[in-house]
Amino acid sequence: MRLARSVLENATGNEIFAIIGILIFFSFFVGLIWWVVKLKSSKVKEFSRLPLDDDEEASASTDLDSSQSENKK
Amino acid sequence: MEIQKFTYDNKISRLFLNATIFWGIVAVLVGLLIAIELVFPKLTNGISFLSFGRLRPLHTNAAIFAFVGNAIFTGVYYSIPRLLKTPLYSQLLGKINFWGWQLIIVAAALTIPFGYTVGKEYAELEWPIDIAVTIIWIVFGLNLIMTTLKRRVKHIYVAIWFYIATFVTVAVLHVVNSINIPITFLKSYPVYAGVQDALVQWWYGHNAVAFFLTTPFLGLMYYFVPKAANRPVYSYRLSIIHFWSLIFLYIWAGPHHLLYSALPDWVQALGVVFSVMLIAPSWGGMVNGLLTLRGAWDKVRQDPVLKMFVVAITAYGMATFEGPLLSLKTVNAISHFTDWTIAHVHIGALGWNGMLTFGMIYWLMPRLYKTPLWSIKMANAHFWLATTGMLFFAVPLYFGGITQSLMWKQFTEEGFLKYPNFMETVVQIIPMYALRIFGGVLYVTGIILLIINVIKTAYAGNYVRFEEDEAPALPSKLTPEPGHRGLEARPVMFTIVALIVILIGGIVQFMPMFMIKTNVPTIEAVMPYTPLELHGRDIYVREGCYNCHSQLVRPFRSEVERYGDYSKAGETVYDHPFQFGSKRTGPDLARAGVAGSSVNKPNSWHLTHFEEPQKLIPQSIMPPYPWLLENVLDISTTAKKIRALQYLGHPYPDGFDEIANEDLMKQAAQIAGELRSGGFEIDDNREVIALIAYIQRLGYDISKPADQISVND
Repeated sequence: MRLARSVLENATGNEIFAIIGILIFFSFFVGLIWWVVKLKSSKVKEFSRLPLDDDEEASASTDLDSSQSENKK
Repeated sequence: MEIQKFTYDNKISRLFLNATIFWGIVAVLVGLLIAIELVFPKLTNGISFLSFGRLRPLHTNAAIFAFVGNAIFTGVYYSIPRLLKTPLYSQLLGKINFWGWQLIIVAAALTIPFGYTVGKEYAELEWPIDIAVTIIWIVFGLNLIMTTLKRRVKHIYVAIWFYIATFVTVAVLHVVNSINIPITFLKSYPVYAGVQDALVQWWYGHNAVAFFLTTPFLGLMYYFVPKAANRPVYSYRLSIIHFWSLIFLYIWAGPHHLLYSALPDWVQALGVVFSVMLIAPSWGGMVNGLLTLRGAWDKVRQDPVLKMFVVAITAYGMATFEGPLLSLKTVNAISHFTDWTIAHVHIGALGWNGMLTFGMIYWLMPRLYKTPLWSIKMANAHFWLATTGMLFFAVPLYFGGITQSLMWKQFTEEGFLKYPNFMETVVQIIPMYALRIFGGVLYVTGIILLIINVIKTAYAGNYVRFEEDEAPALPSKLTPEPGHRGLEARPVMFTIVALIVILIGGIVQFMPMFMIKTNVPTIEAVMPYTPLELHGRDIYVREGCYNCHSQLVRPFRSEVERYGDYSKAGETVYDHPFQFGSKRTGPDLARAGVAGSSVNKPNSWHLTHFEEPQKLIPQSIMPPYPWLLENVLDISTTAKKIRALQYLGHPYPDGFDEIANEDLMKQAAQIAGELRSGGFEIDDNREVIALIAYIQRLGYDISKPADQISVND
């Protein structure tokens, strides 16, 4: 902590922190894109279907027809 | 491969769903009440716990933590077992999570309106409740992580990444921002002071929006929108980029709440840059959500669930475009402290959070009760009431906010403020406040329809507590894979990486602010508060004055002209908590103690004004505070308060805690004596005397003659 304090207290111009921030994000983002592009398409398709695997029905979210007929009664 | 059978238990989800609806109606009704109070300020005349300053924090806390919080848990507890093909790790932990969270909400409702508050927005809860929140949050996180560890699928779906990031980040934000020194069981001071407290608070406040109102709901979006549309998310690759960019960028953007404040320029600039960059992932997510419905637009026309999801995602897009816009310094100069901000957050809360929650409830009910929704027509009516209600709420406030701000800034040709009387700018926008009430009524009516529909559906069907499912067992040893795939297979490692990503932003902004002295230049003339002023300050915090009055004069000609010298970082070093505020329903008070400022008034004026503001300003919308003139000031805690502040570095002399009350009584006798000689009947020991002492101190120190002030750069 003491070392960090002495480095920070002697730092000239705080703008360096802003530049460091942007640089960290830029490299992070480039790495991220690289990761994503490398993903196999077949796998990506498989992952994106994960919420749907347990679906018992293929209808719309609310059972429209039956509900509407119910209302008419 | 061996196929295993297992069951999902819907109990926890159903409990949370009921709580979401219950607290949802409570939150909007409290909101409606305070909206009405702004038009009829004497509505709750003299009832302290129903005054605007006490109820506004209750409304925000109820909306965020009770309504949205329970909605998050509903969706998370429903989706994680299904996405991971495994029962929940522990039903017991789930129950503790549920009852613990409800008790916390009840504790909040029993403390905030009664003035037990830390005085920091959305972090008002006092320290024992903060500790309870931490424990319950860890229970939730443990259940979440442990469930991912016993999953039967290799890949952890993107919705769960959002849940994990929510857990980790909210834990860090809550703990760091809630480090307080307890004075009594329900009173504490934040350890940070002034501008540093402001930086921590808005790092928290901004990211509470990001990681409580946004990331968990994005997780819900990535689960429930594909389910409701019965098609996979438009681009899974985009969802990965959305996730990582969003959590990385969000954490840096907090300082945009403090533009033109005493916060160092470089921190403000950093906040702006990252806020603008946030448009990219936010809109990536919005496009991803909307395009998931490609080819299903015919269903959207009929299905209230999908309609609500479309409005929710659109509102998310609007709010996340507006957010970066508001963080630009030129726009912020106009929007900050006005109702524009209120409109902005309600597009998020009523549109994004509200509509996604209602859609989720309408989707879940038929599944939890194995029966069609009781009335699709009624759900459609709710959709229209909520959508128009949101617009009737927001549009008048945009108009009112911009109008008022421009009036604040307008000069005559001779160079004087055109509207020097703050009240003129308030009167102008009262009709907008009335329209907002109408919007609120529509929105509340919609929720009442939802309640009827939910109850009727529940009665029509049979509650299905357990649901069977089966899946192949996951091999006990997974082959480690490189890169992101490997990370997804290791939830604990994933959690740690997410933690590191969100810590980077905080550390780069905080370390220099707390360690480099030049970031907070001290001012020698600024001295600690006297014991009486300190009590007065605590009353100011208790009454929630910061909900309507800022204490931050920005360096604009219009503000310096209206209030006095602009605010400096060094003025705030004895402020635990800071009281910059975020909204000016009334004028700024940072220069209330500076002779010559338009907000500087004699003690007698304050006394009458607190008793009934309308006696002095007939059009005022400030509520009366008669109890301040009746309540006897509790001075039993003075010594403890002084000792706590001495511990935090306030230069009170040694042993001052023992004689502080003598000092206090002397000052109170002087103020009350003057008032009595002016014909006012008031005892020395009333709370209002302390509050007047505090208000007369605001800005006083730096208004002393120049030779007494030295700025240490």
